[in-house]
Amino acid sequence: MERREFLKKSAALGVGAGLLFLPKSLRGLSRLADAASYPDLVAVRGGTPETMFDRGIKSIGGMDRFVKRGQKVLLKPNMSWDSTPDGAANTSPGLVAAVVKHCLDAGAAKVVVMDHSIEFWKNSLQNSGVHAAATSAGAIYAPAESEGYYQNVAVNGLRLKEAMIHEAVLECDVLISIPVLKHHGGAGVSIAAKNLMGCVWNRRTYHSDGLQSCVADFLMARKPDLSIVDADKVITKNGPRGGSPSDIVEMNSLLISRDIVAIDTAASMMLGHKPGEIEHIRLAAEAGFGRMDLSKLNIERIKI
Amino acid sequence: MPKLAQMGKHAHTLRVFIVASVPAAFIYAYMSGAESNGILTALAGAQFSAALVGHGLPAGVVICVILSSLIFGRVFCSALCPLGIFQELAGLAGRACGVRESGQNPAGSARTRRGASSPDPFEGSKGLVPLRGTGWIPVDLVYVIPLLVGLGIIFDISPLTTFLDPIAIFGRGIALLRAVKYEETPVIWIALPFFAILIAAFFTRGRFFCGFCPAGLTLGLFSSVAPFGISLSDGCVSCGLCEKKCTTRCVDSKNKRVDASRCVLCVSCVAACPGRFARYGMRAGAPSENGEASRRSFMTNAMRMSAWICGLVYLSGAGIAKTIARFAPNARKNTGGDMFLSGEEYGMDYVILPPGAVSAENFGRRCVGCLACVAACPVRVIKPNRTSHPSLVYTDDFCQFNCVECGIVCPTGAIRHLGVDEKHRTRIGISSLDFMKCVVKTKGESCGACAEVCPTRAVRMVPYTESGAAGLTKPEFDEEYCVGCGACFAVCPAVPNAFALRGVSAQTLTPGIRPTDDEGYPALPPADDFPF
Repeated sequence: MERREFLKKSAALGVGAGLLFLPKSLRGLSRLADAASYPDLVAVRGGTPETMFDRGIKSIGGMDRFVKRGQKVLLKPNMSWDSTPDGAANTSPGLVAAVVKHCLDAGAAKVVVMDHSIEFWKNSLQNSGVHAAATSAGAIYAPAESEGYYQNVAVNGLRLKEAMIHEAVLECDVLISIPVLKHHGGAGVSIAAKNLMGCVWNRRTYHSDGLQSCVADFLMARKPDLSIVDADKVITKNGPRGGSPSDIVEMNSLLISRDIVAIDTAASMMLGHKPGEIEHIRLAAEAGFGRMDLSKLNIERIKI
Repeated sequence: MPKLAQMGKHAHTLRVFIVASVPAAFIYAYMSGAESNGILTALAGAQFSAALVGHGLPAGVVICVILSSLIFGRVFCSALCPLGIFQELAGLAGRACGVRESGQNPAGSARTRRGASSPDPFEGSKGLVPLRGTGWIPVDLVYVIPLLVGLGIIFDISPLTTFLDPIAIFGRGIALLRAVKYEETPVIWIALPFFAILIAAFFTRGRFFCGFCPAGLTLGLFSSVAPFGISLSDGCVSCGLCEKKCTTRCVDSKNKRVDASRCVLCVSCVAACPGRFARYGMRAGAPSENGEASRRSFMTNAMRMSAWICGLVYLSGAGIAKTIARFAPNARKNTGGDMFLSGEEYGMDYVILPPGAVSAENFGRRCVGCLACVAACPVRVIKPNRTSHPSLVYTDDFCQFNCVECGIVCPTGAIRHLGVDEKHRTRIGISSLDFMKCVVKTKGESCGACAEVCPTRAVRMVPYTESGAAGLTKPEFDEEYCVGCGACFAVCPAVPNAFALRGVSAQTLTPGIRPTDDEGYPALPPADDFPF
């Protein structure tokens, strides 16, 4: 009798526990079900980068759709230039801080920020304002100024066969590319895919082995899980450094998408390019990293 | 004050512990990155010889050090000279290893005894400077050194200053260690004087070079008449212990006298004296007070006079040279500087000098080769060249557009502290582009690395219409806006490099950042909506 009693009680407890967890798993299931109902691309305009991000990420399903509790998140903003936020060469510090907060709220175990800067790293970190904004929002800065932080990994791309990639990029569970939209003298535009060049130590091989192919090939090594394009102040000419106020156009926009090809295509259109005109975006689309035909995508356009 | 008297026993140990922080901080500042530039600026800026050569007599540091020597003795040598203190440490290490100098015995050599009996402190040799005061050489020959350096400054024979300046000797020694740390090609020979001096200090009592140092000898002239200094008071039994410990051999215990011109206030004697009779304070037997001056022979007076003349030549050399440089900058050719500034090593007429060097002329005249700028450069593009002076080499990185660190730390003003706006326009060299070597030409592929990093848009990407490929851009170089920062050269992926840099004889100002181009860009979509 005692044994039967025990079994009964255990069974009851088991069912109880199951019931306790059911709502959560049901919620998960429902989310999976209506993933299709979320837009593929959210485009916001008419606010500060922070408010546009808050609004946009809500529309695309919230940050917890992309970041799960306990995961390691790597944010790759552009903070390559010894230039102040007014110069628009780097991602807005406020946007990076907002993304950090959303990731931590979603339960990320840690949020790491890195960029292999082009100008002297210390000045770039300091003057871009991104380092201070991200770390005060709770992110960790991963140093990137010496070769020791990078590991040589096979990429097996069309042209990029191997690359020295930052260890934080290789370790992370979630990779988020947060570029600033700008013109680029060599690559045509610098958006989410080009931004990931800052994860690599031996950048020079990109230039010698075909810049456009290598930018697309990097996605073979690691495709970002989310891209957020800062198109608040945009360098439309003489990029990627810019330098004179006449190069900068205030577009007050922000794009969010999981599809790196779609977001790059949309952003390049904001600079007046036609889809397929930028070679590395076209190559990435051909390699199957995303969709270039925006007419087939579910795009949510928000005006604040 | 029995307690205070007891303190004397530890005076030397205490002092060594405190002042050892000076060479330690110097080495730290040279070896670590740009974050220690504040320490480097303060320490290098406080160096007497560098301030004298660079800024001349009116410099605050020069006046302070001369006045302090005139009143308190060579406190600068005691507390601030990294080379002097480092030698002392080497000497202590030598003693600890059981090194005994030949002739280091209480009786002393014959020459020492003869010197000791001389009534004039300038004559009282203790063997540190072998030629000094032997009685038959008419001039105190060691004073030839400040004389030569002084004349060297006046007539712009900069190798003399470069090789005899204490801070430069020290800096180049540490720069060698630095090169080893950062795996750079070390220029060994420029550091040899430093290591030779250290070895000499190890096997003698320390402070070996101080007897030859142009700055130290000149300060010694002032300290010889200083009211404060080391003296052996009544009660001294001439046991000779202080004499044995003295790092510069300036103590004559038999006659209870101290040669204040050579004393660097290391206070070894204070610590060594068992009866606390060697002490620092008002000097009882200063030559001017006890009437010895009148008893000096003609020869002694002549020697003393010539020593002063030599010292004054050294001191005024910088002042005169600076004045000449100010009023007639191109009046005379720098006879020594060219030796350092030849670009032959790098296949160009002139090396590329740090921003603010003004001209090869100015730089050659003022740079003593302490290599503080090498230590200060955050991206390590300033490197010592084989002729001991710094120049810019762009193999790994390039001169940062917004950085003026080298001008801040330079203790001699050889590199002027530029404002950032001025730096943006200062041309330190000129690049040139050979498009036939460019990857856009050779491979027909996009690159743009040069235009990306060019801070002044002297290099920009323009449509490469001849290629027929849509969207392909090629670099175009406009010399007028080039500041010679080397960014294009440093990032160029082409082998051989499509860019080549050359130095300029004088740094000039460019018009600034090149105006933007508005052609060749696609028309922007209407601003009020998304184009997709």
